[in-house]
Amino acid sequence: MSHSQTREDGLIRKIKEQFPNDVKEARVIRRSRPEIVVVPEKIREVALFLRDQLGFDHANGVSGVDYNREGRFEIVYHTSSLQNKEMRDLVLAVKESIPRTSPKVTSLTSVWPGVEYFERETFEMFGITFEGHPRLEKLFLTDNWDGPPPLRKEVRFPTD
Amino acid sequence: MSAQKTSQQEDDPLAMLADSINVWVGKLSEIVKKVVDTGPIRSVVNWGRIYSLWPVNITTACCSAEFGAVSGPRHDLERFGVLPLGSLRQSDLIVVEGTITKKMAKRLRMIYDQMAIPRYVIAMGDCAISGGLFHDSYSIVNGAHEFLPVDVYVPGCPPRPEALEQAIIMLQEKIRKSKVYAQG
Repeated sequence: MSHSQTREDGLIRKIKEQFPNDVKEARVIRRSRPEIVVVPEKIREVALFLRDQLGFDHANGVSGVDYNREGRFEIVYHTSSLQNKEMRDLVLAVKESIPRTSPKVTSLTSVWPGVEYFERETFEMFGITFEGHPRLEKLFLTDNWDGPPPLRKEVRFPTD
Repeated sequence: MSAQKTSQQEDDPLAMLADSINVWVGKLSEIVKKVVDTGPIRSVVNWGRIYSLWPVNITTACCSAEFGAVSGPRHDLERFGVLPLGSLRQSDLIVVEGTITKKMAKRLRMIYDQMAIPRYVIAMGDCAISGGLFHDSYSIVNGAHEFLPVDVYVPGCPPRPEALEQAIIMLQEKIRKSKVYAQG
C-alpha cells in the first residue's frame, strides 16, 4: 500500500527552493498531508508565496499548541486550495514555534482574510498576540472573564 | 399583623373595620388552602397537572437528540401528556438537555423565571447533573442544581429514551403525592 507522493514532494521542493534558510523542516506525514515548519519572522512571506505562486487560496483553520515542557507555543495554519483542481484533497500545515515567554507573532489576516476569527480564538485561549490583526478582542469567553487564557497548560481548576 | 396600633387608628371605626376584614379574608384563604389540599379538589387539580406536562423547547446540548427520539412515534411521550409546544408561558416543564455552558445558564434561568407556576425541572444527562465529562471546565456550570430547583435527575451519557420515560413517570408520581400550593 504505497502511494506515489510526487505531488507532495514537488510542492515541498518548490517551497524549499524559494526559502532555503527560512523553512526549517519539511516532511510528508502521509498522502496529501505535507507540513512545513517556518521561522516566525518570515511567515508572512512564505504565506504570500503559497497564496500567489502555489495557489493556496484559503486557510482551513488556525490552532495553537502549548508545548509546556519544551517552553514553546506552536501555531498551525492548515491551508488548502480550491482553484487548483488536482490539489483539492491536499492540506498543507504551516507551523511556527515561538517561546512561551514572549508570545508574539505576525498576523496573516492580510494574506488570508478568513483567519481573522481563528486568530482571535487563539489569542483568547492561549494569550498569543497577533501583530497587525484588525480586531484582537475576546470572542467566545463570557464578558466578565478575568482569569488567565484557559487552554494554557499551567492553568488549574479547583478539583485538579 | 398590626402589632403597634396608633391612637388615631383606635379612634377611627373605619380603620378598625378594614383591619378586621383583612384578618378575616386572610383566614379565609388559609381555609381554602386547607380544604383544597385535603379534599378531592387536590386530586382533581393534580390529575390535571400530571397529564398536561408540556416541556419548553430549549436545547442546551446533544441530549436533545434523545429527547427528539422520545418525542417521536416510537417512544411517543404524548401518551403521558407530554407535548412539546412553542410558548413557554403555557409550559410547565424544563428538560435540561445536556451540558450547560455559563452563557446558556443565564438564558435558561431567564426562561425558568418567565414560566408560570407550577413549573418542574428534569436534569437529563450526566452533564446536567454534575458537569459530567466537562466537570470543572472553564466554560461549564457544574450541574443544573446550581441555578435551578431540579425535581428529577436522569443519569446517562446520553440517557436511553426509556430512562426519560421513567423520569416523566417519577415526576408524575411526585406531583400526585405533593400538595397543590406547595408545587413549582
